Amino acid sequence: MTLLAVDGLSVQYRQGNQRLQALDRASFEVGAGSRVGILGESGSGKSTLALAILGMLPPNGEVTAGTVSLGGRCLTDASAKELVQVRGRDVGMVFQAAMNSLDPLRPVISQVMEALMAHPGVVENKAAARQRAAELLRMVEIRDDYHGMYPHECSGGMRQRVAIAISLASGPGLLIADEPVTALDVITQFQILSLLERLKHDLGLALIFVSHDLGVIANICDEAIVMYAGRIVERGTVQEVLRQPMHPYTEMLVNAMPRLTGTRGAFSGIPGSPPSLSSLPPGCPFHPRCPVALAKCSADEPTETVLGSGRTASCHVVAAGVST
Amino acid sequence: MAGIVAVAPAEGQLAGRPAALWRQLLRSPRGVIGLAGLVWFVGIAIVGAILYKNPLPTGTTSASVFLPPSRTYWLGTDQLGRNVFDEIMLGAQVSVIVGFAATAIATTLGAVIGITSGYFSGPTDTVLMRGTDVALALPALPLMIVLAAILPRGLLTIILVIAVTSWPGPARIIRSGVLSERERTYILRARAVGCREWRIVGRYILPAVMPVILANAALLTAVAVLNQAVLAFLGLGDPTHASWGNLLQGAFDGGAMLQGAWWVIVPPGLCIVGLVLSFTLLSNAMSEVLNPRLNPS
Repeated sequence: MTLLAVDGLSVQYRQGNQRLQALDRASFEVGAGSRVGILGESGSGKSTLALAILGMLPPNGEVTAGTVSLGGRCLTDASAKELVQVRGRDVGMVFQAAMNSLDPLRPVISQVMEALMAHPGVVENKAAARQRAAELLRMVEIRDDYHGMYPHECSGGMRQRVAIAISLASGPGLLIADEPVTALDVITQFQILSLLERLKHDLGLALIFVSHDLGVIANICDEAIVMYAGRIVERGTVQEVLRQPMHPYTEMLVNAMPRLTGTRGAFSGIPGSPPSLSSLPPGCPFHPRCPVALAKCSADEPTETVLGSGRTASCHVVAAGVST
Repeated sequence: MAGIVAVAPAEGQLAGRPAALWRQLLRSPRGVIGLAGLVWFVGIAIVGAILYKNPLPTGTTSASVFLPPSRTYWLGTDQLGRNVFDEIMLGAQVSVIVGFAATAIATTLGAVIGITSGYFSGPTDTVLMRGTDVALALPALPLMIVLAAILPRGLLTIILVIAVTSWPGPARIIRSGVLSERERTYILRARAVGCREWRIVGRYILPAVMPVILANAALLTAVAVLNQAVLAFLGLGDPTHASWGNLLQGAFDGGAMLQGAWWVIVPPGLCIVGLVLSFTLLSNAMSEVLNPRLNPS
């Protein structure tokens, strides 16, 4: 069953007189209870995609085309008032900077209570909110004697767990996690990921997991979406995308990852750097860095080639390989 | 982890926070001096309001004019033969009332404009800030003089005139505080949880910029006290009620300088300086204590 459907979503940012295409016709679906990883370098449009789903783009950003629908309800046409009701209630969000996503002036439990009381009908009164908030904090493994602590008294991992508790307060069916483990140490990362895994299992939560870390995506997600320069260049199951990457970019990304096992030095970087959104190359945005680029790659932008159920890649080379 | 001592429950901590700030304020020398001065002058104002009735009796003969300090007249008499000590006591309430009332109005106005402008950027911000810039560019003293001259005489006029000329500074300072607070991730997170904009303003932005507002208010009070004295000295105050500024003005007009009657000029001058200094020191200490970024605990 499809929970979230993103169809042809495009986002532009105004910067002075320029309009930067941060997201270009992105389409994908998230089924109820499934876990989708969004992969890409910095500036590839991952966070823009996450924010656009909840209508939380900064003031200079706007959705120029496409739709987002949640459980059959269109969010891109929804009024600001309707969107406020969706946030937290139907879709929760966890942000990257764990250290900054809590209000420094209030104890953590009061912040969970705040989230519970943001929507009418979630809890009846303050006492119920306090009780529910304590339950939520326990659920993310924060001991009772830490509930009254201020954020500056908590470790980074604790703060991120509190942030997760807050985002789950009103019982959303979908959690968008925007780089939730970046800037945390490996052990804390592992704790947060196991927690998300357990919550997914216990609450039947669907998850959109934004990261630039292939290993993390491989561990936690069922499906993977690879983004480059605001476009979805490849998608499929995690197995397919990471084991048999079709798009040259994905392939190079996978090869750029050092492995514990395997040949020493058997990994390579991707030469060049991602294009600036203000001066995208013509044709396929990846062609200047692509080792297998064809002549037409610098002229025409590739369209999505369907390779199987839910498996696509946007590449002329792939398209040529399929048609022959 | 297990070694960490359990902390007080949430309620206790919430209640304990202002108390902790209070203790810190009392630990800073400036805070103590400022608070002591404030208590002293507010005390004088209250005692003066209870013990003395306006207007004070004037001297009966020309011999009672400009008498130097003596056992009967602790601070001598002025050009009308009034007891300067009594005038100081009775005049204190004007400074204190004008200081607090004008600050309350100006700070509220400044906070509303600053927060609205800083949080809801775009055209709202542009319009409000250009208005603030214009108000800021107008020279305050001439504006106060003009307003005080055309409006009916009285305490309320003085309060309004001072308030109207002193909100733009706080508005700008509060706006800059809001601008930096607004971009923080926890505001974005609050929005993602489904908080309405006004709830974010009330529950997150306002508490975050409160230290700025309070410290600024204390400083504003000092300026208001000074402005009240200036207006009174210029003869634009409420002439029917004794105040430190009126005392100075009367002394100046009555030729206290020529007579060498320092006792009419120095005491009100010192009182004004003392009250202004108390608020300035307090503001200074408050901004240090209330700023959590300077204050890792």
